[in-house]
Amino acid sequence: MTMRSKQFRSELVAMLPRLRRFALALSRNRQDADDLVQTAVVRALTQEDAAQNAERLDSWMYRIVKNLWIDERRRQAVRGTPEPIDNLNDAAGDDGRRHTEARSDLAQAQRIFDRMSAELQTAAVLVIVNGLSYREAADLLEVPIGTVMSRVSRARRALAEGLSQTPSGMASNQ
Amino acid sequence: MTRLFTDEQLSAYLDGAGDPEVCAAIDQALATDITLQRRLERFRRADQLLREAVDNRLGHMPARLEQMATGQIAVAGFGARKRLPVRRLAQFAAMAAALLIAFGVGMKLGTGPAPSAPVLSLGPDGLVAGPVLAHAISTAYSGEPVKTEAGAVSVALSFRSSAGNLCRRFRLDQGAQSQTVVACRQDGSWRIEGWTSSPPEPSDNGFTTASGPSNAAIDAVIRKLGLAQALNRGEEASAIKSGWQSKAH
Repeated sequence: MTMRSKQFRSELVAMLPRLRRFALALSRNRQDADDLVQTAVVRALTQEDAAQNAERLDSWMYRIVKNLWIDERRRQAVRGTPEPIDNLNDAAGDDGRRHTEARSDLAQAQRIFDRMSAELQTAAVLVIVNGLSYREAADLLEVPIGTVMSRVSRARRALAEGLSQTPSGMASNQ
Repeated sequence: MTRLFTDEQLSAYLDGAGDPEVCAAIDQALATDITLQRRLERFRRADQLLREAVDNRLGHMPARLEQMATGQIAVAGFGARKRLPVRRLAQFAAMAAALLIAFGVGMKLGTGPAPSAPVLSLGPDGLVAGPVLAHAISTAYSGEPVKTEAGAVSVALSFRSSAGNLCRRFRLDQGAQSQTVVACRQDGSWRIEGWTSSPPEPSDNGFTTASGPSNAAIDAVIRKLGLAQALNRGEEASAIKSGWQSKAH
């Protein structure tokens, strides 16, 4: 393996967590997210020259993941809509355990994230979690920069408002 | 009078993407405006919890992803021919990862050198034996174990499947780990058709007898392939010499 190839693989490994988050936001399902990333990795390794020659490997990989997801969605449209999201298993119930979980800020943030539209999730993950600029996110998602700005803001507001309803959130706002 | 800022303006401010004039006004207002400080603090807290929530939702990174990216599971010729459906690919890759871990290769991830050659490769039609294992499968006689870098290979049976492919059932022993595997010759590779883990069986010659639950699973794989013809010693020798050409004679 050449030094360049080693460097490429090392960058690829470092990128995996960011790609998984993006894939989760697109697919809304952990299993599908990992499948998407895996296929993207295969694509990168079998097109290593193209990947290495890309101006930015992360942009190239994000785009591969997105295109794979578009292909997958087309196939799903033919096959019929799949079971929606593993996260719906976490819909709040009224038993004691759920009540206890509901007091956790993290559990609440997770529920709010799960209930966001895919558009808000992808914008929030790309900008807030993965640290892309609005311009980078807009280019990747092929939407105007103002749309990204608006989606990120709406995602933040949904989270902030939802979290302020938890006991610790209310305490921090007093 | 305190200036009112929209959520979008505050959000852009946090992302370092706000209008410079607005950002300067926010900076100025923050010095005295407690309500504004709290609004920003709520957003920052929301950001932090979002990061944790997303990673929590994803859970641990599947070992197969890192193994593929680092080359511990080889990706050979993928995309040059027909494409594996994503689910099937995941299934094969998971199997490869399980086998590699079973062989003590995957456990080295991140802490030791990658193996010189993968025991298995992910080909266009699924898992195939890597070069060392393939050589052993191609050259070993039934009942005569051979030692390789990938472990000890003991072939128990050579047969022709109902599709006309030449197949071999063998055991791969590596220390305390043992796998019973069925592989069929296809397009110049040994494609892994099925495998099962089992403890090494004490044997004088390494030959595995057809009994026990793991063998039942492997027998099921063979039944599915269809055992059209079991090769005798002479036929096996011919197949070894001819490089396991799958065409029926």
